[in-house]
Amino acid sequence: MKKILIIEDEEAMRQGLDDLLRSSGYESKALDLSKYLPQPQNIASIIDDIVAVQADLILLDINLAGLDGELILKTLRSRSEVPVIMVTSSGMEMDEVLSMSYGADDYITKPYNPQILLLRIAAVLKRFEGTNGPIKFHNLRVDLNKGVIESDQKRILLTKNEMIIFGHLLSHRGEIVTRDDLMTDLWNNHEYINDNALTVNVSRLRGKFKTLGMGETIETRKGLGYILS
Amino acid sequence: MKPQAENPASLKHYLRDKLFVIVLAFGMLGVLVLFLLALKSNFIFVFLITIFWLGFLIMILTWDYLRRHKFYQDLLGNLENLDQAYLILETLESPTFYDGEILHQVLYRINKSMIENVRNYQSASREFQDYVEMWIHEVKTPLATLSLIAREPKVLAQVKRLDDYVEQILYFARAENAERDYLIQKVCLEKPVDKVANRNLEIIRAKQIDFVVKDLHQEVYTDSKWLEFIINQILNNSIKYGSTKIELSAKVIGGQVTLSITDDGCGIDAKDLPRVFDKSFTGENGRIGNKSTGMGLYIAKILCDKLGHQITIASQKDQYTSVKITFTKPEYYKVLES
Repeated sequence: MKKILIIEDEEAMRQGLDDLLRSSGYESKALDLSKYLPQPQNIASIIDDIVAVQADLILLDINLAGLDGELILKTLRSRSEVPVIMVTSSGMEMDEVLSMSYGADDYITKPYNPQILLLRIAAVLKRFEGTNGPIKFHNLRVDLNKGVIESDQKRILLTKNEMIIFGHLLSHRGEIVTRDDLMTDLWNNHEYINDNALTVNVSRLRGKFKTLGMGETIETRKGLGYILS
Repeated sequence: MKPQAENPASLKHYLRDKLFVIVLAFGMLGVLVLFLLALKSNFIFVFLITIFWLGFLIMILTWDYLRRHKFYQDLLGNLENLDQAYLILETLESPTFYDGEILHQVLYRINKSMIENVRNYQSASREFQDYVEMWIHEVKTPLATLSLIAREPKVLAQVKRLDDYVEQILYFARAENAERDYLIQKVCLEKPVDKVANRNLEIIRAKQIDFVVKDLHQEVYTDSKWLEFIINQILNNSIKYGSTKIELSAKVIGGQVTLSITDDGCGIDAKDLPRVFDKSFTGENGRIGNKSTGMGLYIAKILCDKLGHQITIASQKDQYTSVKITFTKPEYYKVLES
């Protein structure tokens, strides 16, 4: 289970993130910021504590009351390569380039859609694991980057939409994936399709698996969503 | 104010003002002449006295007229030409005659008190604006928390509406003195459109609207946050007014990029169309929908003006509405370094 460290000064926000991450299958831990606050200059001990958690990913709010989020990030970078997603407020003049220059791997602006946050987390974690090569799925080789599915006899190309849908199902294999989840993932990848198009894409994807002799691999759970077996 | 036909600083006007003095002077001359004739003075002597007297009167009046005329002519002429009439004192030389000096001093003091007054309002409005901005940042935190805790789509939709309204007032407060916080950079149109699209995903799905983007891979010089806000306002209108399809596309004409946002919603009545960018204008659609503040497009227009973008709207009732934003060429921008 992936461990995510939350660095956030809003109590309610921290709680909400904690719930969200736990219910999405992550182990989450929040850093108790209050103990540093009388002496905010003590940045080294904060970094020590952050590193000690050995998180797989850090969610860092850049606007911390009494603490300098940028400095924490910069100092952390000199000691650890752990992926960091920076949380910014929409009022700030903060853009991608700037947040990346601080050493963040991705950034998200408050207020955000929780589903999109989860997608970003998954994407950053995936990038860090380097699971870019072909994956085994039953007796098929799946290369999501190239959009190719191969069996011993056959080779099938997927469209971008089908790739996103299949990729999402694959990373949640055995779980029910709602249409909302798929839609959010598609839109987050600049594919602004509607519900009809989603249905069409899913049935095309099914059709392609059928030609590989695996027609039943994507099941529909009525009123809930889809599940990949 | 008198109509423009008569120049208040004209000679005629001056003489009319001095009519009493002139009548008095002639009266005195008459009395003097009669007196001298009664004393059986020499006719030539009386004639010379009369000429001398008249010459003296004309000289005094001419001198007095000229020095006034110069001052008042400048005053009135400059007043006509100045955009800001209150700057008039800066353009005038101090007059050398008594009542002119008084006028000058009075104007100076009125000006000063007016400037102080304006400054009070300015600082009050600046304070208010700072407070509004601060307040918005405060209110964003619980909103962010709420959107995270709320799993219920209905609650999320309401939180999003709240956030939209908060955003509107933030940009309204900023539009007033925009100089201080925008950052013009090269932005690919796909990016702000993507943010706005994802922001409105739930409502677009709920209303089963087809959302189509075409050829948005164009770079423009703009502030991406401001542009996001502008697109969001336009998109919200399209969503609100019964569209089933919204298409965003970009075109390059003569080196200028134009972003079009076209919907097939209820359209705008021809008589309302010229006024949609006016403050608080809601028009027929606003009265029917009853959800308009009339501020969205107004703020969008102000922001576009500040950014140097051109925003235009075309519509046909019950057919379509199309908003176009044209981005000016980069050399007009002062690109601020962060």
